[in-house]
Amino acid sequence: MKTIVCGVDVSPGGRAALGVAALLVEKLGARLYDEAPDAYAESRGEVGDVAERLAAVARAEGALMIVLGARSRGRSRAFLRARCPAELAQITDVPVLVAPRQLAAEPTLPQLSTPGGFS
Amino acid sequence: MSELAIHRTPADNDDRQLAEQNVPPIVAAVDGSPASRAAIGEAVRLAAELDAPIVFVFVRRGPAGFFGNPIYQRRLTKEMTRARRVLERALAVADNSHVPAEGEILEGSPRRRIPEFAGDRRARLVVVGSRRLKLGRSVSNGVARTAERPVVVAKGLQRVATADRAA
Repeated sequence: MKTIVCGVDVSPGGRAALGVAALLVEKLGARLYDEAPDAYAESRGEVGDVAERLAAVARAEGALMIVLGARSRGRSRAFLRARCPAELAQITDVPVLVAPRQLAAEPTLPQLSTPGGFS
Repeated sequence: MSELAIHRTPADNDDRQLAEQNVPPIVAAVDGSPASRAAIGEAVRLAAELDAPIVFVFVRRGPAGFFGNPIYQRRLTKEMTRARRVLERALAVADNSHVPAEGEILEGSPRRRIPEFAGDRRARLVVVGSRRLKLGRSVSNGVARTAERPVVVAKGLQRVATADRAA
């Protein structure tokens, strides 16, 4: 079965990622693998470097895609640390989807709910 | 800023109707690099699964004007020829998978123009490739941080061994 791995936390980006992942699961008929209160989801807690652990889980699950939320940090932190999607893209062969933070404020994700869209 | 529509290759009449119904497309950035080829493959796969048309975009920065007319024109012609060639290859891949697609050549900074174009076209997804840059700013990272649409960073083919070690 197709699996989508979603990295979540309490940030707006994490919520946006969860929303987009849920829509993708519905559209692609996939299984969601992370912290989501949903019957179609499984959850797992991992300790370590975020990019490396997500890549490892995605590889172990044979994931179709990894979904993450975008973060906005200061210029210096962005340069030093906020490179998770870019790091992931380098260490895994699984595509990485970055959900914009703006989608967190709109639970129904109207941008994606267009005719022929995800929902 | 300029935009130039290069081509449109709906696979058949149904696809043509889909593309013309103003269905939000998947926008895929291409530049002819190996990372760009990964982006084309991922965009075509997602478009086939989501029943969405694709718009391939090639963003060129444009030759510097201070070289003067003969050199400027020669470099501009060379850039446009390369852009058309890259887009033709991407369109051929989409056509082989029976996915409706079109190509656009944009001018400016890729980090700025790709999110702008995706917003203008109400794109469902933006697909970009990722390549490791030792110096300089990553286009894929910049697009992922600034775009208001979900961005798919297509798989890089390098350094997969790191993930193997982590596993």
